[in-house]
Amino acid sequence: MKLLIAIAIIAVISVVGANITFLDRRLPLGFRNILFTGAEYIFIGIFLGGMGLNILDNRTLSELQPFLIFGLSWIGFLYGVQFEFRFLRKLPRFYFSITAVHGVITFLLVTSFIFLVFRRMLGYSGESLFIISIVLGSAGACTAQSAIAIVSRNYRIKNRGLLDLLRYISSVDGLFALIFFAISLSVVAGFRSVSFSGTSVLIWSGVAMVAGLIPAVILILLSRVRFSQQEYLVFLVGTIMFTGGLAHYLNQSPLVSGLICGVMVANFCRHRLRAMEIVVHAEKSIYIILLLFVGASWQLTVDYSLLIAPIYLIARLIGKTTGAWVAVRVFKPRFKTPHSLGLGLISEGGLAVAMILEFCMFNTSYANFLMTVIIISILINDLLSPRLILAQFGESEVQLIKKTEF
Amino acid sequence: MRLRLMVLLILLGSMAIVTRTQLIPIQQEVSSTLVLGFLLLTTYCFAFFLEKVGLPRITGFIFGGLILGPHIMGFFDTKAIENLNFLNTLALAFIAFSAGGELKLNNFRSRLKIILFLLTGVTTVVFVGVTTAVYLLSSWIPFMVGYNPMVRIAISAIFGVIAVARSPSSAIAIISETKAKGNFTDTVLSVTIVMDVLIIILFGIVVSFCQVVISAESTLNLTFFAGLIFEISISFVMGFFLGRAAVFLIEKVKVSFPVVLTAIGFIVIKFSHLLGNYLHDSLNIDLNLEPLLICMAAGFTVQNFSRHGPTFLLRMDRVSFPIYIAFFALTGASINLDILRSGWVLGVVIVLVRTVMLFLGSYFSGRLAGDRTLNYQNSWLGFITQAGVSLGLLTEVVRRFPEIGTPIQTILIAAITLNQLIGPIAFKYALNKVGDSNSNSRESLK
Repeated sequence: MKLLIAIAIIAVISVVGANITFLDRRLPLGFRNILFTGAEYIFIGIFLGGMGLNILDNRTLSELQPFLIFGLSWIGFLYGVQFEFRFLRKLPRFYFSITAVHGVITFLLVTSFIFLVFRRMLGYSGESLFIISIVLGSAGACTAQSAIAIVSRNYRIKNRGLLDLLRYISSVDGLFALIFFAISLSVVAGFRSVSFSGTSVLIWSGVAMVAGLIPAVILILLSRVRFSQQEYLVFLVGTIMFTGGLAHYLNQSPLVSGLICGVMVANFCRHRLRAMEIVVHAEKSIYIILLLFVGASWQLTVDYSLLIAPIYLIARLIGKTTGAWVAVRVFKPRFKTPHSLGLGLISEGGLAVAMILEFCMFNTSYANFLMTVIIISILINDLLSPRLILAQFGESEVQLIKKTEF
Repeated sequence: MRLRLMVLLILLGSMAIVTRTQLIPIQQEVSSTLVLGFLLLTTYCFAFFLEKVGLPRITGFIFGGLILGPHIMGFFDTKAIENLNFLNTLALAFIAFSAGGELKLNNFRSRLKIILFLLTGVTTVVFVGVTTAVYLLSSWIPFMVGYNPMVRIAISAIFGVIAVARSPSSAIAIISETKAKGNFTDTVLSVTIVMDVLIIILFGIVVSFCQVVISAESTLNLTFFAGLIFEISISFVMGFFLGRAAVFLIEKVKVSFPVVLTAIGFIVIKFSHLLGNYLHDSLNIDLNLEPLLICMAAGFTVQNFSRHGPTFLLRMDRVSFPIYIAFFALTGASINLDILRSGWVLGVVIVLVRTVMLFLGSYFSGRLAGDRTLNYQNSWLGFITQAGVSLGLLTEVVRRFPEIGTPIQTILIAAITLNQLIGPIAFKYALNKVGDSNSNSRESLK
């Protein structure tokens, strides 16, 4: 019964919430950004979860796993379907190069930093050490677009090139983060197979690809027949469910398989725009569901995870700053770029939340610790990021559009 | 056609490889997400192929579910279906809202005489006919042999009352699929939906009678009927207020109201059950609100007491297709072939008797009411399908009469299953024959 009530409550909150949140409200920039990313739903999740009303207790959450799998697959698909290479090729190539270098360096630095801290300070070793560092590294490499959106909506910015670059990086760098995440999941799967070897990692990577490719082929074929709008909804919902379900059944990531399926659809499907229109329509609701899950599955305990959160924040800050600094030095954009460009890319949310949530679904032993780190990180980063983005442009290049700031 | 066949083969092939072979070491069960995604896509293809040979899509969804499910191909087990049971409740709430929304007072008023004649005629003839037939056969029905004639009449009446039940969900799905419009469609739908309300009262009367006859200690309690009328009235009132809430959602809150409404309907259904159980267990009061009636009344309110009726139906219709596929595919997957095997002989007899009675009842009622000849010759075809309500009533029979409930359930599930398989085909045929069907005007993207 609890499960059924939980489903109904989640459905109502997600649909109603999608229409009343994610708005640009009259608040100080940092808080405005937090509300704009829907972070308040983490608190609603906490309220509904084990630390509050206990409607979404651990058992109910595990029974709701099919929704989570579907949601993750949906988010992955949505992200992937935006990667239409024909369109991406029209943008300057250095955008992509800077994004790639920034993503790789951030991932490597965050992963190494966390690895060292856990090994030296906390005495971790083996699989758990590897998993924690690589998952936090992947999540750290993502940048949320919300803070840049808030800034560009409220300020007239002269250096358009820099603004576009920040927008581009925040839209695309998740791809690299997801690739690292996928590889790390395959390595984890390889660790757990009978004999760990490079081949087993390759096999698991192949399985993840297949779990995304088969559904993509199905949707591409179905898009070539005569169909009504209602039928297309069935094709799309069915494909995304099948992708997520298949990936989960094969011990793979629904998020990554959804991404692969989305990328395929973006480049080979006749009706990719229609697909995008439908997935975008439900994006907010699904994201709210994920945030509710994050909040509900979080059990705040006073332990070392509270100390790891600032360490992760610092590692990410160093990673982002170094990554962006190296990237712009190597590829030299045609417009002015500040030395601390990485500080404009610290906003976190969306994909990072999805990654951590998904990882916790498979690996409950690290769930609470990773949740604590990521929730604290999201809140602090979202609070600081709009101001740090503005600082990248300098006072002379920024002009307030509306008197919305207090 | 070829592309859909390819899709079907890819789906079946990949599921077979993943679930049947040991290429990849997997320890877990097939998740509900995979089952649902697989069912949506596969049964859609099944339905397409059956549609090509003139069968309705919902037959394809049901057959698809049956073939892929645990009793034939076994791609997933009964546990996976149980995990998806909540979807049935969600779909029922959605269907009940839609059913209420389909009842337009104007259409109802203009055909009131025919509807009333059909309701009275068909209910009486089917109830009396099936009850008599089962009573006459009772000497050959093993579990009835040991009882005296009065108890046999009571048991036969249970068969009779369940034979009266119809399936609004199937009727709406067929009408939606064929885009049927016209007097015949309105009449069949109105009778089917109103019958859904009447069956609850009729069932209450029959069960009360059976309790008196079967258990000697019980006496016929008149307050029971007052309670029943009270329950139904309260359900209508609650439905009205829920309908007003839906109007508010449409007017003031720009949300995707089909989803919110379905979720609210779902809460109503679950709340009604909870309240009923609580009152029974704690205060010994038998008050069972009728959740489907509440949802139907809400849909009816939006359609007839606001200016949003057309918007309501249009937006519900937009999201209805995946819901119907999931609902009917799961219904098909839940068909227990073992039960069908054990009760099929009596099931077939009951189906035949019921069908004949439906024909006689609707033919003469329609004729007496002055309906169009083509309509009264074919309306029985629209009343054959049985589904959720009948199965729900059967569960209640098992709960109230544990000794005789299970064999009744076995026989009637077989009959309901057969009706579920042939009913949609018959209704689609009737819609085509009377000319209400408009299935060739399917909107298309290309």
